[in-house]
Amino acid sequence: MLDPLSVVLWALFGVAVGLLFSWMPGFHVYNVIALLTATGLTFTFMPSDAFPFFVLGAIVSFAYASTISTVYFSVADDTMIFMLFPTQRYLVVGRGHEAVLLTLIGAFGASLVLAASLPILPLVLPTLRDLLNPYIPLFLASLVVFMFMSEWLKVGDRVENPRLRIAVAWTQALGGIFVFLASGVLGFILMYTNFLPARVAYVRLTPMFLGFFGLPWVLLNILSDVRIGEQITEDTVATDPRALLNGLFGGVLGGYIAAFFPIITGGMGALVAGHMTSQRGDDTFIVSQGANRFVYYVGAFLFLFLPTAAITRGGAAWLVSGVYQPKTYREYVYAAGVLLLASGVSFLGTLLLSKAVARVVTRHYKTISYAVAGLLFLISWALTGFMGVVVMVVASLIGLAAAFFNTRRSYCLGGLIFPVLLSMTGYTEVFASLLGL
Amino acid sequence: MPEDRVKVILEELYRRGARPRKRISMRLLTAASTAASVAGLIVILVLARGAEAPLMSISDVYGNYLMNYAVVRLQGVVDGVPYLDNSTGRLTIRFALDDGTGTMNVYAYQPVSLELLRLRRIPFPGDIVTVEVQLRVRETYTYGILQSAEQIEIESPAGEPVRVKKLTTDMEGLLVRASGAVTSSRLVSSGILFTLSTEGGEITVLAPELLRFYDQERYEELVEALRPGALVEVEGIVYLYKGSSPEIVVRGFEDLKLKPPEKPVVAKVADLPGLVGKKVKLQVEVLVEEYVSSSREYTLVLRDETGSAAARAKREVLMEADPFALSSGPASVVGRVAEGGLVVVEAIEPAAAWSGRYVRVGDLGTLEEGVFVAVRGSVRDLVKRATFAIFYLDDGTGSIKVFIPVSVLQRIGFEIEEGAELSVAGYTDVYRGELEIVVFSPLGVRGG
Amino acid sequence: MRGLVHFLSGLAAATFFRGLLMDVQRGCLAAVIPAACAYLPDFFDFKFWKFLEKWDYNVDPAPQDPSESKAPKLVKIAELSDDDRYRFYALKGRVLEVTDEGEKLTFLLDDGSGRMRVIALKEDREALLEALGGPPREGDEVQVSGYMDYLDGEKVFFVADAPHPMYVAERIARAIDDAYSKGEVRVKVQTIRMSGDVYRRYIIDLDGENRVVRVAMGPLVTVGGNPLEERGVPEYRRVAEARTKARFVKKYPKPTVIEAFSGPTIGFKREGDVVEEVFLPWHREWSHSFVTGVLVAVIVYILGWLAGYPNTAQLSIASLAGFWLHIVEDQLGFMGGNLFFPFTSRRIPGLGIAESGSAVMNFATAWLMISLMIANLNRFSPKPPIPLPYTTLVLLLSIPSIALYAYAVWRWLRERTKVKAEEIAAKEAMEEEEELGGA
Repeated sequence: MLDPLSVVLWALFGVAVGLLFSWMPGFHVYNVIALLTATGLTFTFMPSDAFPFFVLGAIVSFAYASTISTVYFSVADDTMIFMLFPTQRYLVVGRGHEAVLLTLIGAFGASLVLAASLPILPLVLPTLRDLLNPYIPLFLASLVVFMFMSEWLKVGDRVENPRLRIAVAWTQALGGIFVFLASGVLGFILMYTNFLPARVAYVRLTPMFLGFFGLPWVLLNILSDVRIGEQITEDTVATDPRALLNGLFGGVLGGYIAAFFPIITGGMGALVAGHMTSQRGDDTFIVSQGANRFVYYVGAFLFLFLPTAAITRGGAAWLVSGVYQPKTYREYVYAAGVLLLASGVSFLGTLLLSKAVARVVTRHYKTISYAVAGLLFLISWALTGFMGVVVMVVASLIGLAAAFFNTRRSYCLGGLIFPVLLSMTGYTEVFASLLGL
Repeated sequence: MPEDRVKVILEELYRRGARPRKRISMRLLTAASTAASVAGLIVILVLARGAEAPLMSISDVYGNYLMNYAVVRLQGVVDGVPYLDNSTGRLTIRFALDDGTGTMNVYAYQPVSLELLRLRRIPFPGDIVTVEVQLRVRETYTYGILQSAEQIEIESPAGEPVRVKKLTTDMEGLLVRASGAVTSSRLVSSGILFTLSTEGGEITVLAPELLRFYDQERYEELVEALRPGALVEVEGIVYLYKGSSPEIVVRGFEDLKLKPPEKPVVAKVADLPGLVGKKVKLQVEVLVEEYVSSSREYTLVLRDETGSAAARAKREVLMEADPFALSSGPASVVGRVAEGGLVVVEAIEPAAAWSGRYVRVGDLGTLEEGVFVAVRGSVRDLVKRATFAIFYLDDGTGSIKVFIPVSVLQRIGFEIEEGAELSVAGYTDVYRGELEIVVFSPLGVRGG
Repeated sequence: MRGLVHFLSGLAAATFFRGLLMDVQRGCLAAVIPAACAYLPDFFDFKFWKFLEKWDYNVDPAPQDPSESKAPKLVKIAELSDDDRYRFYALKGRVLEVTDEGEKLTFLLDDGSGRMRVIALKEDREALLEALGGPPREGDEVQVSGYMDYLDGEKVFFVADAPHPMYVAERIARAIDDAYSKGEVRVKVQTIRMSGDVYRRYIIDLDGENRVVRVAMGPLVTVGGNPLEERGVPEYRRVAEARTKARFVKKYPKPTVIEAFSGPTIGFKREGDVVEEVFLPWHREWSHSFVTGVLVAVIVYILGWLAGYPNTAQLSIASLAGFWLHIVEDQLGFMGGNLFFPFTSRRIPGLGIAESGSAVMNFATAWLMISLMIANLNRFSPKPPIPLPYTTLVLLLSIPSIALYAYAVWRWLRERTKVKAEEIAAKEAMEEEEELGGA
């Protein structure tokens, strides 16, 4: 069993690794951990029981620092995209750093809530899991159906002719269905065939997610013609306590939902919680995003430490559980401490990073976008080889289709949801036969 | 501040110079990305069709966290009886696969498990199985998950089953057939475990719990029917329980044929040598000689006016008889006559109900060893251990040591306490020079 | 209520039926159907009915460039007709004959299709000069935005960063008069989307007492409604009024604010001798009727029966319950609905306990539905993980909901007024339309 000092040091190492990479667009901390694991670098000098704490530190810092890429590097031209996201709107009016700060406030608030809930989780979660496990397919399918039914049809609103109006509006909805199914087919092929070699199975979905969520935005940045003004880097936010609390509550709730239910991601959890708490306002939304992302990533990983019922959620948890499974209450308490320590360090680190990036992005965001695009290709190739790059390219086309149809990006999660739903309902073989697999 | 942005907007509204603005047709981009996505998917699909899951050895994948979620093919022999569990409301099937390099569990979850059940595609010990599974690699164990009922190929031992009268360890994996009478049967976690008495000895047979999932009603009928005395012919695979005890594992209801019960011949002890192999019914006095723990049997002496004969009975058979009634008089014994006139007892039933007569402790020394007696008194010097309980029963005329094994103690239904008034019935025995009463059945202990 | 809350209600309804839940464990997800039915009323409206509505007037003060989806649209001088008066456009051409008279800058613009005098007044002149970095010179190629108007009978182009509010005022006034003669008229009012995903706010004030339609141009605002500038448009083109011949009545005393995303449809309907305003006339009509719910349930039953689904009756009852729950939940708000269409023709106002977007009511209802789901899943489990009787569990879990409902009712009883009810109903209708789908 590790001593407390070792836990702290390995956790801080994880925080450092996370801060180093997480601000880069397209870089998911799971990719970094996977790379380190694949090369075996971590295990030449890291004891296996330190691995969970290293990863925890990295995930916490990712939950904070990844907001930088969300705010600064997913700029979109409003002629190409119908509606900017709140963080994009902040960026174009020179308040990108304020958006980062709002996200960090959400994340920090969530870290306190999560830490406070840790004594209750071992009592509540096993019961909830036993109760809800048989019905996971129902909740998953319900969420997907709701996403489709509730999509706001943005376009076509100005067309005079009613028939043409509905046709234009429904191209968005149909586009969403196309994106979901196309990504579903791609995910199915990756999960149930050996298109990617078995030796890279543990990262078999990485090129797909890079393609869905990383590369399209970078390409849009390159294609777009946006001028980003000078960014204000003062540490002030224009909001009110009620908005903060509403955002924090909704974000934490959404994060817990996403962390607990398999396959349901942070974005989907945020959708659920946003409706339940009736969130309004850009500042509320951004705070809730920060809280949601924190609880989703960190909370899901923390479940692995639960002594009463180790629930494995998320790629990082699966990877770690293959190496070392935390077992004791002491490790659980260590994890709580790491959570708080890493949160504090990451908060400050991200704040500084944001100021640094704010000065650079306005002048060089296209150059950075080119570099990032190259980096994504490199990661994909390093992890999964040439076939992985092919997957990433096809996934990018699907991700771009989502953007051009003005439909939800989260439909790309069909790559995960669709094959899992088929598996849970026993239609894997039927669908495989349909595809000739 | 926002005013800066207003400035930017105004600059867009009023512009000097003919700055050609890049115009990208969104329709073209949408159509192009859609078409390219479809084309890309088709290419990947075509390539994926030719990508087969690699056949790997268990030692290559076990504990290899880089193989987590990999889809691989494994081939090996099924080790052990398949385990089915639906305690959570969802059926899970598990079996172990041994490919010579290692052993790994393969799981099938609902709805795949239901499909396997429906298709009767569940492997048994000895089957050679090829499965395509998705691996899950944990710190301490690795297992595979079957994704579809179509992805398992089972090659069961074929050919004519070999008729056997006894089992040896070198018969592992052999398809055999045996017949005989059930001498004992009990429900265990893996199914119905019963013993078949054949001409060559005794054979252990397992009707796995899997059969219950095939047909619950039929399984329950089987539980009732497989009672001591039932004549059965079984067919199945020889499996070594814990690697050393051979037993036949039945694979389906059709592999268990119950013959109509044989009517016992009413006989006297003197007739037994001429009735070898037959089922007999005797009205005899039963005395217990000893308990053989290795085979969990009692050796008995059966006595009537024509003579006495040796017999043996499984512990379970004696446990079902009422010791109080046995202490009153003769019993009706049903059993099969083996070589030498030895009776393998299938059932003992007291000839009459208990008279209510207790033997005084002071008179016990005058009785023959091994007879059934009933005494009552107060409990003294109670000693409880993990495998037995001992106490002295004092009825005022003397004290007698009472021995109750834990298998009986656990089934009594109440706690024996120091000073309690108790009635016990069992057989007399001399252990290390001291006379004691051995209570062999939970029916042999009553309060007060 | 927010969409997901309705959806959860349908899902909760499904969990009351053991057959539907057992089917989930066997891989059949029919239990999603009641949840979908619970969302159907809004689905019908926002996905179909809204788009099939026929507009008698499409008031679009700032047409969008089709390739950029924002205003102003670049047009040729020759294309500008009388109908385009006051509308916000952009012109691009060569500058001829510049005259700068201090507060008024004038130049002639030739875009190849024609020539037009361009006038920049006061603050607009300053904005133009700042943007161009000085006065335009003859021969310069410039692009300017603004609106066409008439000056001394001549078509001129006024430099501006917004349309003139008269465009909207005139058309709405005309629509009201039309409604008086025709009986009913539907007016679609479009938003003004500018660069950077910001919108120009404007306000429509229907002054029934004086028979005046008043429109005021406001500042640039974010999607969330936060102004980006303090002053807004210059005084001289900030407010416009148009008179109607017909008498009209506005139910909601406060003006209608047009900001971001989608503009509303306003119906004008003659009732006797006056014209009444009906906000979002297409919403909560036939779709929010109990009768429609029955029809939906019957369709579900028929489809289930045709598919050979064994628990068809349970499915259709749960679907009916989900649909009706949606209607009941909406009646807690202000707008209400046409509950018994086709037997009734008007919306019945809601109880007005809280707005549909109220965080308190949404969370309370969502939590109540989740509590019911947990209790139902528990009682139908072969080994219930929560060792409490059903009723006790429901009561315990719903404590937060009960408390929040109690708070909402207390607030309602304290603050209830008729005027506020109608005003909030209009706001509720606007907010429902803008429900964001998320990323």
